[in-house]
Amino acid sequence: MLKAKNISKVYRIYDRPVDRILEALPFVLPRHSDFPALHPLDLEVGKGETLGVVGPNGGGKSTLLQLLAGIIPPTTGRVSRKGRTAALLELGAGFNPEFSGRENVYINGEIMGLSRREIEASMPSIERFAGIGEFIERPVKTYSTGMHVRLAFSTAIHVDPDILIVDEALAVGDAVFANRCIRKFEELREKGVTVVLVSHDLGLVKQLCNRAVFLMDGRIEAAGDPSDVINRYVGAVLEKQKAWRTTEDAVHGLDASHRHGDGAVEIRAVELIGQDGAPTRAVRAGERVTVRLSVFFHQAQPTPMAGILIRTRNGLDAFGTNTKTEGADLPPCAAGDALEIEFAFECLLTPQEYTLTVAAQHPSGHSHDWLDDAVAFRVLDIAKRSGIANLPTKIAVRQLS
Amino acid sequence: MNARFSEVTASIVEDRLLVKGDGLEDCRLKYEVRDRQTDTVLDGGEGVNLDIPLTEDDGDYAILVTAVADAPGSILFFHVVVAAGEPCLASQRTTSAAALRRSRLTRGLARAAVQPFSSIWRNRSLIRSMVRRDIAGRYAGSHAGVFWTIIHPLLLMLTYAFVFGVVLSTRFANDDRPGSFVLYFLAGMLPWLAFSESAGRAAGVVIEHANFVKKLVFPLDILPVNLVFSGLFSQFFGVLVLFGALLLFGRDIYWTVLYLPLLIIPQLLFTLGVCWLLAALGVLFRDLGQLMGFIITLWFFLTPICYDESLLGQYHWLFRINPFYILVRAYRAVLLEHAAPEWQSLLWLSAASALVFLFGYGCFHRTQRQFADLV
Repeated sequence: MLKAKNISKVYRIYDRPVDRILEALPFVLPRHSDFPALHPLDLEVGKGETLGVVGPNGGGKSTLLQLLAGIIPPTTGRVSRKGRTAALLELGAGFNPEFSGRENVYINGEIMGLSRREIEASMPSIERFAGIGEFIERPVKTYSTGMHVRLAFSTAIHVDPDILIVDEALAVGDAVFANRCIRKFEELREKGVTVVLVSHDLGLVKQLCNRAVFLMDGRIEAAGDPSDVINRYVGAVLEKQKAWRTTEDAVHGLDASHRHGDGAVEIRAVELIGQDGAPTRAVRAGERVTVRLSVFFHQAQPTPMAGILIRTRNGLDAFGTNTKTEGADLPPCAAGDALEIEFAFECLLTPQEYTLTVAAQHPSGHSHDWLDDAVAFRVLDIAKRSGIANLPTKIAVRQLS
Repeated sequence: MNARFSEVTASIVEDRLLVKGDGLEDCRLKYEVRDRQTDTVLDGGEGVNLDIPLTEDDGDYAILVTAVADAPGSILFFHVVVAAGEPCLASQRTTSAAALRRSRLTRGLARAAVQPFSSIWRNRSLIRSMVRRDIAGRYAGSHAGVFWTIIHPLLLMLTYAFVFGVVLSTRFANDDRPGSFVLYFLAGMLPWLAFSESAGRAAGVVIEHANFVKKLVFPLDILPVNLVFSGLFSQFFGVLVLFGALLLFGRDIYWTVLYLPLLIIPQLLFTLGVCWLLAALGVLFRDLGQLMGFIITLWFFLTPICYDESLLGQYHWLFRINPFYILVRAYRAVLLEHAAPEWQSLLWLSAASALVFLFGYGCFHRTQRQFADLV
């Protein structure tokens, strides 16, 4: 059971380090400016509840966790914790790289308030859960990040905490371990452990948490059911990116990473347009989007054609088509003609970054104007599905026996 | 306003504190709920006919009520104790800001006297394992391992013995027997060895453990304590070396060595106080770590460890303000001269050490809250 009442955190910002010392002297006026990292808020996480904290970087998530864990004192308010608290704010924060993994388990366990005997008793299951084999006997400095994570996490959950506070812990580590952690979280919840979890993995928050809060600019913007909270968060992110786009990208200059072609036809503008009809760089998965090309003909073309190609950031083709494939033949054009061509489709892609390549071509496949990566955009989704294709999936389950 | 406050009645109804009084109906009041343990503001607000919500968390709370129009004036003070979820009004009085500050100070001082000991006691097993690891870690990967704890002072002693004993032919007062220099030097070196080792690392200890400050729930005040006990361990080996030297030069180990604990206690208190102070200052001034090497060397030469005290001549007053002068003399007395330590100076030293101890802890404790912003 974890309860925070009216907690806030105001950091004092000093221009020069010496100001801090001067201020401590009597009869010296304040020499700092205040930075409110967290505005007063109340929070209560009951026994067996898992609270997810989401929000953009700099929104106050880490400060909140530090306050909840009791690592830093709040400026106002009070946090009350019932039972042993294990905080995993940085993986292996208490690890000494010179010592063996086993020795570090002892150190961390003792820091978290366990006796040596208690740690000894849970050592076998810590080792089993971490699954790093004989590395447990080697110095931690020889570990990979993944092994570090496994051992730290394994130690934290085996100290038998009543409250577990985890910051972005599962971001590293392979899928197998992540799965094992997720099962462990479920087990902890059943055991009545209070969990507070910060994650950028919104799918994970949805899966593990029964409540969530969305923190932005040090305030709780939304709290309650994880799906609702996450929708609010995604909405806020979309809004922000739109704001960014209109200011940064007002001029639709073409900046292809590579441009080639004979120049008989010129692509003068490329736009990615969202469902609301406005140009965008951030697309919700499944959103209906339009790619709009403006094409100018320097030479007459009897059978012109244009195409688009979407690639992932690491260059994998995700989807490509052209006017001929789609059976939408363009009219014959004379020199000096201009066309506007729109490709509309549902963006059924998994959330990651993509680029859009566009081209005006001759039916033979010869390029008049080819622009690689003319537009970069991001697909956003609340669920993190793997791969590239984001196929709408319905799951039905029947009990067979 | 005072007159009005004197007629105030306060009562606890369920989980709220109601403040009422004749003539208060039209008076806007401001309140503040503080945790008496940590002195942080938990809650606050304004209103007429205050109705202050209380927490059901067990604890010791102070509720301060002032009239908004009369800001620095008198303060209504309520002491509320919540036990087993039940709030109870323990006391109520009218006071002033200055009086509150004074009582806060006295309570702070009382806490400062108890807290260092209770903190060390509470974390004793953590301290034990951290010290053990510190000692093991220092020599991890070296071949001689923990024997460096002996080899190091031995080599140091040989160097000084050569420079001062042979080259400069320093003699310690009225003792011309063989090995006299070595023994006097070693005896004087014992308290210094422990102190310089701890104090030399204290300025950097918090920065070194930045992760502990920012990412772990950890009793930071034991970090300097670990250093002091780790230094004491080196001193223990130093004592063994000295005993070896005594036997080698054909002297006896006299029963006056039993006085040693009486010397070690003030030495420990002093070292702890200095280390807490340095650890706190080291966070504020990063340059202190660099400076400490020099300060410790200077202090070493200002203490008659490698030369006889008679050599300081007109600068003799320096000795009086140097706790290590008293300690060095006392160590030599009980180990080499078969005499009891000088009680008067030992008493003075103990009192001064206790003060340094409390002052150092106080400084550390006060700045500790800011560490997370600084490291």
